[in-house]
Order: sequence, then structure tokens, then C-alpha cells
Amino acid sequence: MDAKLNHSDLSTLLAKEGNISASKAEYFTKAFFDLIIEGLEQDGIVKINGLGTFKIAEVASRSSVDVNTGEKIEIKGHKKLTFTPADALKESVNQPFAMFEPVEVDDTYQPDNTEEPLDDAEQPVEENGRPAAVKAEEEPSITTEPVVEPVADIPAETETEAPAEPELKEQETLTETVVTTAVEEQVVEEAAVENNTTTQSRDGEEQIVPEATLQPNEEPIKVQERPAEPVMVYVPKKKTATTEQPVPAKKRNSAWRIAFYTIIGFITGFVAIKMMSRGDATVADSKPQKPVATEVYKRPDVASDSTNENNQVAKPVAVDEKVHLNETAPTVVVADNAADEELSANEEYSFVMLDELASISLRDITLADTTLYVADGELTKHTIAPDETLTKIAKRYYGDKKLWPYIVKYNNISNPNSLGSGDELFIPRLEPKE
Amino acid sequence: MNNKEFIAKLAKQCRITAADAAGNVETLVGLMTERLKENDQLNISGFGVLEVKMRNERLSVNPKTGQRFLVPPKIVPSFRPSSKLKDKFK
Repeated sequence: MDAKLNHSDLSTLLAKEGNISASKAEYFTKAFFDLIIEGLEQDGIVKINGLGTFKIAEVASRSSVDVNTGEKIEIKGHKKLTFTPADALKESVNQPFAMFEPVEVDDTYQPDNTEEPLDDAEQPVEENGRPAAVKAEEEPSITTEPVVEPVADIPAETETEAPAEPELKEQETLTETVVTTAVEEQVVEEAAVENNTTTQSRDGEEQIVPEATLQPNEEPIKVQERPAEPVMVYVPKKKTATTEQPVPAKKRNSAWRIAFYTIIGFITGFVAIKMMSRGDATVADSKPQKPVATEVYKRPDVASDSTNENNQVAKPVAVDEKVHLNETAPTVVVADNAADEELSANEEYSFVMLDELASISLRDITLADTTLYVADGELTKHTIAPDETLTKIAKRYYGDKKLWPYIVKYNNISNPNSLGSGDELFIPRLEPKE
Repeated sequence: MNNKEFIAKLAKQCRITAADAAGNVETLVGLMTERLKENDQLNISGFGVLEVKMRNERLSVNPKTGQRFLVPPKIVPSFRPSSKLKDKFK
């Protein structure tokens, strides 16, 4: 298989096969080839049955171009040594492809251009010649099927004609052979394996006669039944082409799949984080609140973590000072703004509010806790600023975004989305439900 | 020189009977065919290389009718004469 044999290898094989001594075999093979050369010298032609014909052919002189200089040159007429293989040899060698016959194709058929030309390269023959061919042998029944409709009344003669095709083409017109090939393909399909044996034995004379009788019968049928669609018959040749296609497709698919799943993973991770952070948010939200509240409460000489102490009166001045330091303390600002005039009179009032806020903020308010309040009464009024949302307002006053429904309900707002900047809202006080 | 003459000459050269020579030639040719079927290359020095080549399928056109064909791929035996031989007959 794909080996290189030389003269001595051949003689060794001959000695073994022919049951002659090795030296005799060697002498014989040497003589064999020497004699071919001699015969060529003498007669110019040597024919060996089963092998082929060696001939000396004349080549006419032709004008051509010098490869180096590019100037016109005449290639003088000369002789060349040609070899025409014998039919038996051709058939034996082509056995893997013996099943195949030329097939008619439609005008729409486009050949696959991805195949490399294998004609004159040694390497591809060794790689693709037999292995590919072997596959071809398995496929013929499938591949030749679409071409021809079954014609049941073909006599057995046609089976022997299958191998005659390439030869008879030269003798008959092409149209006729087209007809018969269509027929024979069907026959080949029907008796796929059996044909192999019949291809070996051939006699040119026998075939011409049956074919002649066949033609008039088959022609009328075949003309109608000739299929229109192109036929991709030779699967093994396409092997490299087809195998290449699915792979990139698969790669593409899997790449998309991977991307898809990572995106989904990101989204779910995102959502998960959001869910988690929402649980923490209240704590986080309350935390900035806490320092504000404590600051508000804190007397200069009182410890900051005594936030549970209620009703501690903080100095208004202290409040004022601290107000502006911390920007997340709008409550204080509100208290300041809204009840500025009243502050002195209603210090307790405002500080009660802050008191409540502090107590609220200290608790870990979860979603469940949002129902634990009652809107007890008006706390203050708020004008919605541009780009301010209910949740923002709720966070401002209650320290928790989730408590905005209380505002909405208290204000008897049917459609919270309709609120705009400049609208006034009454911010109720929220008492924990006991 | 046809086959008969060739065998006769060969028999004379090897000092064996023509029948023997014919038998040997047949065996030898059979061996060569077998080797070629196996994709092997027969490189006879001073003579040339006998090998098989693959011909791809191709689109062919019937010049008369314009009918297009798909000619199947095939494997063909081929012979490349050695340079010594080529020079001899140039």
C-alpha cells in the first residue's frame, strides 16, 4: 500500500509467484524491461498483453517562449515515449470507481470548487486514491439512485455493458451512450456488487450488438424520464468539502451558545446581587441616617451611641450646624425649613419626628416591615422637585424607599405616575403598628 | 513488436521455452497489476516509473448536443519514462 517497488522487489515477487529461483527471476525481469527498450528502438512500438503498449510518438515542433528571457523560441520537433495501458489493467486499477458512469447534469449544476486538483500529484493519489475510492464503492447504490427511473424490462445483457461505457463512447455517438448510461446506472444500482465480477470479463464484439438492440427500445423512455435536478453522485470526493462545513458551523453554534449562557449567567447574577443588596439596602440606607440622627441628638458632651435615648433636646444651633455637613440629612433640613419659625415653639414636635426617624432607621426594615406602620397624621408638606421620585421622597422622610405607598395613600393619589414636579404632597407620620 | 514476438525474444534471451516465458510474463504482469491496484509505485531504474494517478470528476460537454456531463473520478495507470530513456529516444 503506497509503497515504492524497485526492480529487485519485483523479481523477488516473481520468484515467489512463479516458482522460479530468485536469480532466474531477477534475470527475467531485467530482460523483460531491456527487451521493451530494444523493441522500441527497433520498431518504435512494443505491445505486452495485459500491461499495455509502449510507443514512440512524434511531437511536432512548436513556437514557444524562453522561460528565462521571455523571447520567442521554437521548440523543435522531437519524439516522446508514451504508454497506453491495456484495458484489463485500466479496469483492475479503476476497480473502486468501476461503479460510476458519467451522469447527465442540469445547467444549474455548479461543481464544488473547493477540491484540490489531484491529477498530477503523487501524494494525493496515495492518500486519497484508494481510501476515498473504497468509500465510493459503498455509496454507488445510494448516489446513482436519483438519476434513473426503474426500467424493469431491461435484459441481463445490460449488466455486461456497464464496463463497456468508456470504450464504446468512442465508437457510438454520445447521445446514445448517454441514454444507455442512464439505463445502466439503474442496473448497476440494482445489482451493485454483482457487477464487479462482470466488469472483469469483456469482449468488445459482444457488447455492440446488444447495445444496438437496446437503443431503440430505451431511447423513447429515457428522453422523458431524464430528471431535471443535478446529481451529486460522488460522495467520497466531497468528503473533504462536506466534512469541513459542519465543523465551522458547529464551532459557530457552540460559540454562540457559550456567549448566550454567559449572558444569562450575568443577568441572573445581576438579579441575585440586586435581590441581596435590596435586603441590605435598608441597613445601608439607615446607616447614613444614623449619624445624622445621632448628630442631631448629640449634645456636645453626650456620647454618640446613646441613640436610643429619646426626647433629647438638641440645641437648635447644633442642629443647624450639623444640618449642612451631612447632605443625606434632608429630614433635618425639612425640619429646619418647614418648622423654622415654629422651631422654638415646636421643638419637641420636630424632634419627635426625628426621634421616630431615628428609631425607625435603627431597625432593620425589611419588606415585611413595610406593613407595620400606620400613617398617623400629617407630618409635613413636600413639594416635588424636578426629577424627584416617590421612592426618593420616601427615603428622605422615612429612611426607606419601600414606604412610599403610605405617602400615596395618605394623599389619596389614584395614579402615582401622574405626579409631577411642583406637586404638593403631605408627608404623613408613620407610627409602628402595635 | 507485438506480444508474440516479445515473448519469443524473451524466451531466447533467458534460454527458456516460449511457454515458460509466456507464463512468466503473465505472472509478472499480474504482479505489476496487483501492485498498482495497491497504489504502489514501480520504479524500474533505467526504464521508468509505473504508477497510478487519480483523475477528479469533471464537467464535460457533448459538443453536439451541448448536454453537460459529470464524468466520474477514476484511477488510471501511468508511466513516466526515466530521463535516460527519454534522451535515448529524443
